[in-house]
This record gives sequence, C-alpha cells and structure tokens, in this order.
Amino acid sequence: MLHLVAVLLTLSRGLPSDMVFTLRAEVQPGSIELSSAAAISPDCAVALAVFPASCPISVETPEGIFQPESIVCSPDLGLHILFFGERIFDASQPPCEEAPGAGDKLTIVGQGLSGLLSIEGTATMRYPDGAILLTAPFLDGMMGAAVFDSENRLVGLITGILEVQDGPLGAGEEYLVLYPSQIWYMWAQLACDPGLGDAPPFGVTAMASISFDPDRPSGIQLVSVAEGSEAWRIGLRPGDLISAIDGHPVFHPETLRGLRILSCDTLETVVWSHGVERLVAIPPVVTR
Amino acid sequence: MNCARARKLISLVIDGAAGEHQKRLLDFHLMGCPSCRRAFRMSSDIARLSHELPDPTPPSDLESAVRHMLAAESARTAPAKRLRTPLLAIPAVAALMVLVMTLSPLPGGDSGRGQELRTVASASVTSKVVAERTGSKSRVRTTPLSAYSRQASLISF
Repeated sequence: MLHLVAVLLTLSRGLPSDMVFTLRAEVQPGSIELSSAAAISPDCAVALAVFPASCPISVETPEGIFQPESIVCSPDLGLHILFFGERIFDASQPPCEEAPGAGDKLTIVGQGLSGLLSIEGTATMRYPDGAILLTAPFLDGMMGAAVFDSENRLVGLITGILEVQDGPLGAGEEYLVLYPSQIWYMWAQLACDPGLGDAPPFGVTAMASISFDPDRPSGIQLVSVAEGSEAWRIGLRPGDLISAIDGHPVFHPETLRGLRILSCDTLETVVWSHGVERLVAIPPVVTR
Repeated sequence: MNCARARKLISLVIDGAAGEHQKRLLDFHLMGCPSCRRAFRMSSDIARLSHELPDPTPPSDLESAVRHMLAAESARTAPAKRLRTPLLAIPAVAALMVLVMTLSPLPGGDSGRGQELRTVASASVTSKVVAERTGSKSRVRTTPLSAYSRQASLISF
C-alpha cells in the first residue's frame, strides 16, 4: 500500500524534464550563456547564480520566453530565485527537504546547446560543507543542472566539480557537486513569499563553518549574540556552533533563519562549544 | 598537467578555441599555480586591450608601394633565383603586404616603435573582428562546469 502511494506521488510530480527550463543570460553584450532554471512554483524558479542578477535574463517555456519581474540572490548559497509575477510553469514543485543518501540513484537534468540533457548519477558521500558528491559523466550543460531523486523530487542543483583526495573511489577522483535543497529550501520558500520574512530578530550574526577535523563538526558558527536578544535568553553565546537541528545536520545560517520562521514547533538544536555538546531549544516565532 | 601545457591551453582559451575539457584542466591547474595565474591574467589583459584598439586603415598608396617593391626586388634578384610562376609569387606578395602594413604609419598617427606595435596589435584585432563577423566563433554557449567553491559571509538575523 505504501509503495502504491509512493508511486502515485511520484507520478503526480511529473517528469523531471518537465520542471526544468532553458535560462538565457546575456552575460556580455551579444554573448549568451545557457543554463537551467528549475520551477519551484508556478511563478518562481531557482537557478544557480553563475551570472550577475543585473544582466538580461530570460526563461524559455513551451509557451514563450519570459523575463523575470525580480530576482532574489544569495551570494552565500550561490542561488537566484526568479519571480515572474504570473503563472508561467505548468509543472513545478517545491524543493525537497531531504538530502539524498550515499548510493541513491539520481537524475540530472541540464541545459545543453541543443536542448535539455538528462543523465543518471549516484550520490557517493557528503562533503563537510553539506554538499553531496555525485559520480556522473561530466558533460557540457551540467553546471546549474537540476537534480531529482527516484521519486522525482527536486533535491538540489549541480554547482561544479571537485577533486577529492580521499574519496571512496580512490585518491584524486573528481565528482559532480550537488548543493542539496535540504540546505536552502527554506530560504527559497521565504524568498518566494516575502510576507513570511517578517519575524522579530533572533539576535545573532553567524556564518557557515566547515570542518575537516573529525573531532569538530561543521555547522553554523555564531560570531556574535546580542545581549538581551532571544538567542541570548535561550542560552546561545558567541563561539557556539549549531551542528544539528531536529536531528539533521545543518551547515548554513540561512537554514536556521528559515526554519525559525517557518517551523510551527520548537527547534531542538545541538550546540557544540569547545568540544562539549549541549541541547538548546529554539521556540517558534510567535508573531506569525 | 605541467606549466608548459598550461601555457598552451591559456592561448587556446584566450583565443576561444579551447574545449570545455581543456578549460576545466586549465582551471584546475590555475587554482594551484600562481605563476600560470599571472600569465593568464596578463594574456587576458592584452586580449582585452587589443579589442579596444581601432581597426587599421591601410595607406592609399599601399598597392603601388607593393608593386614598386616587387619590381625593385625582381630587378635585384639573379635570373636563376626568380620566381618561375605567378602562383609562387603569391606568398611573397602577401608577405610584403603584411610588411608594408606593419611598417606604414596610421593616418594622423605618430611614428616610432610604439606606433609599430600599435599597428601590429590592430592587425590582429582586425582578424578577430572578421572571425566574429563571419561566425567562426560561437556567441552562445552553455555555462562551463567549473571548480566547486563556496563563499561564507556573515549573516545577521
């Protein structure tokens, strides 16, 4: 029964290639660069920020070529959210909240010179900054390609290639890098609905912290915590590193910012400080 | 990849003749080689500056000057060494035209070695412009697959 439900859900999401569209960016006068845009709602798409948001951009659908009304950019996440102000995508889906695990088979849909390309890849391991390394052919058009799991869920975008010295396939192997939507889906949700972003300040300044040391986790490094702020009251202090929220590893401040606003429940966080872990509960935003 | 090969790839990339795989190879090498990074920056700057130079205008007496030089050269060369067919003369004429264009001052321009360099650079620009106009270089491309990197900045909320 559960399997049947999963199959029906997969079918209802549509094919991955139906949710990926050609993005044209005039990076220099007369010079067009083709990339991919993944529809995450009928009027919004997400794309890798491989071009400046100020250059002329258009997205091609079967109904025509559309220019976004506005673009929200996160330089840290390396993503653009394109707003079109009208329904232009027949097929779309919000980015997935889960990251693929090692061994998962994935479908990568990118933009070649002559049309969309679809290839298969396999998730192999997680990089310390939360990215997921894939084994797949390196083809033109894979930069910014949208990646879907076996249930046709959008699980992230391809953000480059990386050579890993100690990979499971041997030293010096190169992988495609998937930046999973698990890290940025809440940022995309807030960007798509600006009304959700009105929340009282938490009172922290934070940055992503990557650790290659097995004795120290990666996570969200709190650089400063304003005295008297909500973060201060619940016990967070400068130097704390939030390594997990609700049992999932976290890597970027946007994840905490987004989850705090979007979650209706208390967030259970694991906070690491000077080799000691403790649990801190972050209450939901009450004004929503 | 060693630096010698990287320098060859730099030229190909600057000329727009490198494939995606070659670009990726070069990107990887440049990440770890400051010397080649400098070379790449210099080559890029030279290419950019050369695009800003105006197209050269050949002097009005170019044809007559070339004919004059050919006639003088023919008179000076011994009969046994003369070019035997008109076809064989074509490379020599082309070489002389290039020589004349290179050494001739631009109208209204100054003279001297700086002017010679400027003219040579302009000639190369002309060939690039022609190549673009005739469509020998693609103006549409896919975003190249580049090395993964991620910036981390402070976010307050």
